[in-house]
Amino acid sequence: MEERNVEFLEPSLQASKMMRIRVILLAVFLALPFYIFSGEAINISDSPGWESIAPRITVDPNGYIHVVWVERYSEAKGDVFYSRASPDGTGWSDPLKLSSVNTVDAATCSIDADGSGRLYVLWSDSNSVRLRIFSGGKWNSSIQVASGATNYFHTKVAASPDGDIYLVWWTENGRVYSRSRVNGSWESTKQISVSGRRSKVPDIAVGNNVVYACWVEKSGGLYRTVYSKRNRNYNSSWSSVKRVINNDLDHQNPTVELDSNDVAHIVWTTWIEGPRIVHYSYWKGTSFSSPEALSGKRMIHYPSLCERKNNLFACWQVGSYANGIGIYYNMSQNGEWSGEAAVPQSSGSTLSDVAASPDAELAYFVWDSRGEIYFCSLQGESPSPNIPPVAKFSFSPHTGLFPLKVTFNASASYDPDGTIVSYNWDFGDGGSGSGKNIHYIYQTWGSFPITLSVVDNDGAVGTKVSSIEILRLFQPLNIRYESFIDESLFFSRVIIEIYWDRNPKNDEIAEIAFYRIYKKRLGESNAFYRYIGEVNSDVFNFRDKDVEEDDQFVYTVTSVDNAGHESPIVESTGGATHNEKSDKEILK
Amino acid sequence: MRKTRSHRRKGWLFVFSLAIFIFGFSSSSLAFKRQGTFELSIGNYSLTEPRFEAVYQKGGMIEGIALSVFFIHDFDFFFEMKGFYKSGELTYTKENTHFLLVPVSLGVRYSRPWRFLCPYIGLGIDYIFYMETNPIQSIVNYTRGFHLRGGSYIRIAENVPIWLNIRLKYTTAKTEENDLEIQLGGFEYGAGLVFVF
Repeated sequence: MEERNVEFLEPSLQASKMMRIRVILLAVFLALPFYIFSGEAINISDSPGWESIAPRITVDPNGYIHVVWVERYSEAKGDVFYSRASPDGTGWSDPLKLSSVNTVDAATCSIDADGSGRLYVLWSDSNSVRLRIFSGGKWNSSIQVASGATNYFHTKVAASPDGDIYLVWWTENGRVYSRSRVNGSWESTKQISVSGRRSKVPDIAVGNNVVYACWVEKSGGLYRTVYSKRNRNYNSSWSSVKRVINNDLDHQNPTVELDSNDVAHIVWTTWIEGPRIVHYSYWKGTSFSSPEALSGKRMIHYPSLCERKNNLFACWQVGSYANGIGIYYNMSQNGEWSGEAAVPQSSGSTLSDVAASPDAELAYFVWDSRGEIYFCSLQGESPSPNIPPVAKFSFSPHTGLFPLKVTFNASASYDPDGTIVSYNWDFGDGGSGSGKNIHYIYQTWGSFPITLSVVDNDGAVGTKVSSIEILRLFQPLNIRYESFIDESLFFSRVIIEIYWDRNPKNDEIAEIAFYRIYKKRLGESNAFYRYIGEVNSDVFNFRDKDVEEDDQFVYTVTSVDNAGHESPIVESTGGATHNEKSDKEILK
Repeated sequence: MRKTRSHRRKGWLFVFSLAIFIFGFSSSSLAFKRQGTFELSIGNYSLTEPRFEAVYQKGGMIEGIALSVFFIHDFDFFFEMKGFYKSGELTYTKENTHFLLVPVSLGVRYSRPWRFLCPYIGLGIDYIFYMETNPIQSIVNYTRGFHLRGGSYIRIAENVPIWLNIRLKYTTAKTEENDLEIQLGGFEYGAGLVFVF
């Protein structure tokens, strides 16, 4: 139990440290949404009264999904349960109890399928290792494949397509054993670890011609990942134990898979001053490759690995024992790992496993969380994430007097891994448009942000923001007006004189050609200003004769250049109406 | 207004005194025997309306014709038509404005020859046609008024049927336009060349 505690239980981190880690992981998760999960996690154990732990998953050649796990009735009692589902991850069968010993403990069961769809479930109780085979549409009775030792752990089974099975486990005294059934004949149990070097947490994989086993071996106070291999023939010998990688770091929980070329792929965790990293290495023909980090550096446990059609699927738990932040994964296609990402709704987890559909287009995850077993699938056909398009544009002219027609050109935009399917513009003044090249007329002045959003054929969006300064002419200064009475013998009329001064600010922008005079009735908005006349730029007054006795007008004056640009028609600085005291009535 | 009425009263007293003086000193009317007269006249007409002066400045020349026919015992009827034209400026914009006044008068006179003079006094009614054109508005209209007149024919030589006439006339004629009451009357003085028949 002391060993088990070392392997499965982690000291709790302080709450503040945990929070930092969660924030980092959340950021990583948000940055890497490369895969699409189908729906929510499914509770497949549905056993509220028991603690469901240590799930293992495999997929048969027809794509059916098979999961086993341990239902723990109490601290030291439990049994192995099984459930299966359709290839789409639905239609889970009611859990079936495969063992009936009441002493199956955590992390001891495993499952694999051969090319005929036969299932092999291996588990251990305190004193034996047992195998149960599903064949011919029914579960056979369990077989005891090992006994006599004290406490068997990490019983793993690997089945070849033709039905040979290879088993591995370790015992409390720190030795790794294997037993195989080749062509229907059982071999004897063999110790494959080196005596005197404490060895534990093995895994095993079978390929076309070779079988690999890996585990950690203690040497010099450190556990290091080692491996041994044999061919598939009956009673073939295991090779001498060798280290996967020579370094002075502590390793834990290696797991191995073989691809169609019998190349071994191994992942494990490396302890680095507290946190761990998931490392990956593969057989290069004469040695294993240098380890490649599949994860960030944090508290990590129990990596799992699945190979399907030369694609690799790895997952692991992040966080403390029985209270993980979540299950994380990384996928490799054609030798390229997609990047670390999280399985949704997987918090509270401890142990997990991963499998893939026969065509490798779906990845399946199982994990335990808060006493239940959960499942979800992942559409992972393309491990390469879509790269968002890059938005670039130019425009001309870069500035000018309003109304200003500006031409925008987004031809420089590009999509590194596809094509741009739409160009959307926001011109910053409330106007918008679409198209690679577009004209737009700014009808007012100001500084406006221009936003180009380009969308690629996968729906990713790239944006670029620039700005444009639209200039205006300035209104003349000191606009004022005064009313007078104009009379003949029989009639009189109101005359309003409008005056203004030259605005020197316009000298820096354009040459003023003339002034336009507008008026509106008192109380009306600026939209009601109407043109009443214009005078040359060297004239600074205008006489409005179209005024009735009771009219009350407000006047304003605009500056206009030779190109027709006009200062905004806005309220003037004020002035009197003819009904006010400034009236000058000549005759009364 | 009170001052203006006082002036008018003095004017009437002056005209009435002059008439008594002329008739009182006349000894014979035989030398001025006639059937009627035709007269070409010229003179000066000053409207008393202050708006007129503001727009058209002072009064101006008035021209016209007059026809009189002997009636009975030193009384004759007369008909008179004249024209008064003035151009001016609007009060603020100084744009041009034009004014034409055509008074047509009918009345009766009493005259008493005295030596080479034949003073007379008379009154009558007036139809005053007026027109004003300017950028504010144009108008053509008429109004009615009445007048008093006095003057004297002057015989140039015995048996010569051409006399001179000097005269003084006061007309009053109000009109209303655009809620404004305008006085078109005023003082007129002038002379005429009279053909006697």
